Amino acid sequence: MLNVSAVSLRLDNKPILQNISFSLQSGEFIGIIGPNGAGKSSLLRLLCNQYIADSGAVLLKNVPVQQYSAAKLARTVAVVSQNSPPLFSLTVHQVAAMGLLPRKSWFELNNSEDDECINQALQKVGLEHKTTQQVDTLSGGELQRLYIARALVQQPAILLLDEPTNHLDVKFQHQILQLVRDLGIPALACLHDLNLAAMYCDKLLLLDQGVQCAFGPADQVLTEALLQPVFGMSCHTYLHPQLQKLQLTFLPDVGGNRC
Amino acid sequence: MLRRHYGRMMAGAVFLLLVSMLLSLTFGSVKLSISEVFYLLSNQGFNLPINAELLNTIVWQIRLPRILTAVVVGAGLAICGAILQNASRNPLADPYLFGLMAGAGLGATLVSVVLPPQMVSMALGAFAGALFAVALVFAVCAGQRWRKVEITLLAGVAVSFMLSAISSFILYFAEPFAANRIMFWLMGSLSRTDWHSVALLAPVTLIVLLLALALRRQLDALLFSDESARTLGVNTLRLRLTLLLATALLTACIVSQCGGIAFVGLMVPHIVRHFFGVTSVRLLLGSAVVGALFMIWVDNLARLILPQQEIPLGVITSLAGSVFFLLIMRRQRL
Repeated sequence: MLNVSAVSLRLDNKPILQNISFSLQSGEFIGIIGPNGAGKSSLLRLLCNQYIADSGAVLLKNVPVQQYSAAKLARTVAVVSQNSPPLFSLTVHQVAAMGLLPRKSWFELNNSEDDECINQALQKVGLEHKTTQQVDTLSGGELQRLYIARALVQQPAILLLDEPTNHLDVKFQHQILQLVRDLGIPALACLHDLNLAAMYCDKLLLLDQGVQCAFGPADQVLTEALLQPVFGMSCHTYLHPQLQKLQLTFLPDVGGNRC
Repeated sequence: MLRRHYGRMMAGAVFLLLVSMLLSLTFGSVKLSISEVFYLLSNQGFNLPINAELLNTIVWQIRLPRILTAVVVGAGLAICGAILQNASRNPLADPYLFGLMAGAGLGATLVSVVLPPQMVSMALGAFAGALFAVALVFAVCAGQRWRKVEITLLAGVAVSFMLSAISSFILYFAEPFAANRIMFWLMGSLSRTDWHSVALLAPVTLIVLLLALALRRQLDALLFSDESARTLGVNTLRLRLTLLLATALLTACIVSQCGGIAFVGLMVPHIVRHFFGVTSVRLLLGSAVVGALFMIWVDNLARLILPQQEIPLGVITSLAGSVFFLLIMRRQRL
């Protein structure tokens, strides 16, 4: 689905990403983790052609991502980013309908299939009762779900999410990640909360200062030996007795060497 | 909520526009009744009694082209304002505050001083001037990526004043009695318009409206952020340049015929958003109708407030617009 091989990126002559390689398979949910400035968001931007890699290749369905036109890329990859609210207040339905943009020609009107697609997307994220509500009256969690609905209307092959749980309370954090999991669309999300990443993602990509430290299932990536130098704190990992998922706790005041 | 009754609001506005156009034909130094206007319009100047020929000339050669020009000028300026506000994500953008009008005024002034006054050369000169103003605003705002509303606004105002001052300077030295002409370029008037004005402005207004309607989804996508729009497949730079060129062209054509009429492009889209809706189709069509309606009554006022003389349109639009501008700034706490 998505193959990233030996990708490096420099911005303003500074190395942002170095030699990153991983692949996203059908139905997988990959979490990109790492401290602030690790290059997580830059990697996402690179995957959706907002940045061009200096070396290496990003293959989307076996085609280099640079060969995609803007519209074709938007029909293949949908991005849920940290959106500021719109300049003028739109309704929930109007925002979700924006996902039709990559599929529509200049004078083409919405048809019944489009309306069905929008309704289904809003139903999947649980906003079908709020279609006429103004977006500035939605809660943070509802707004994030709306942006996911807009992405679903794009009918993408891959979903990219930039810190989708930021500024959300605990319930909404779980709700959003469970939703992404349940959608079954291959997804890649930058995440700050390592416990959430361990709980919902199939694989994790650990970055530190633009360098790939590890890529694999949570039990291979979330090890004390890997995390301590990256985050500069010692940590304790354990298997949650009820969830049977790896969880961890950071312990303060212990230094370490970065990878 | 009013926005939900978009169809009815739109039908009501179109009806008001048609009634206003008809009523406006009766206003003026020679008073006409509605039945006389109907008679003159339906007979199109044929088979009229001799005493009706003067009235026929008044309706067909003076009032009708003037009213139709007011319709397309009001619609055009409001459409330009709506496009600029959405495209720059700046609720205070309009052709006047963006410097487009002053640039177009300077271009048309230069052409009128150097060449014999011709409609096409004036419009082209105005277009070149408007592009020059856009380039200046771009240069000042370079690097800010349209994020700072205040900087774009101040740059537009500064460019506007600078180019207006140059226009006035040129006219002052080029013509012995320049005051009238300076007034025309700074404040606007429909007194010089005729059927040629309608023939120039109507197609350009229609083309820009159709272009903006075609790009309605892209315009809506810009309401969030450039990055968000790009992820939906929008080439934001190309879109902005296309829309800026289109608004510069329409503003230039309007300015070359009617001078600089301020604040219509700022006020009308805000009113339309409140009553009609925010998305581009509603905004653009609503702005076209409400802008036309607004300009017809501004022109009626300009013709009727003082007996036997006209006041510049900009006096009325600036008065209304400046109060409106202050209200928006207060509401948005800029």
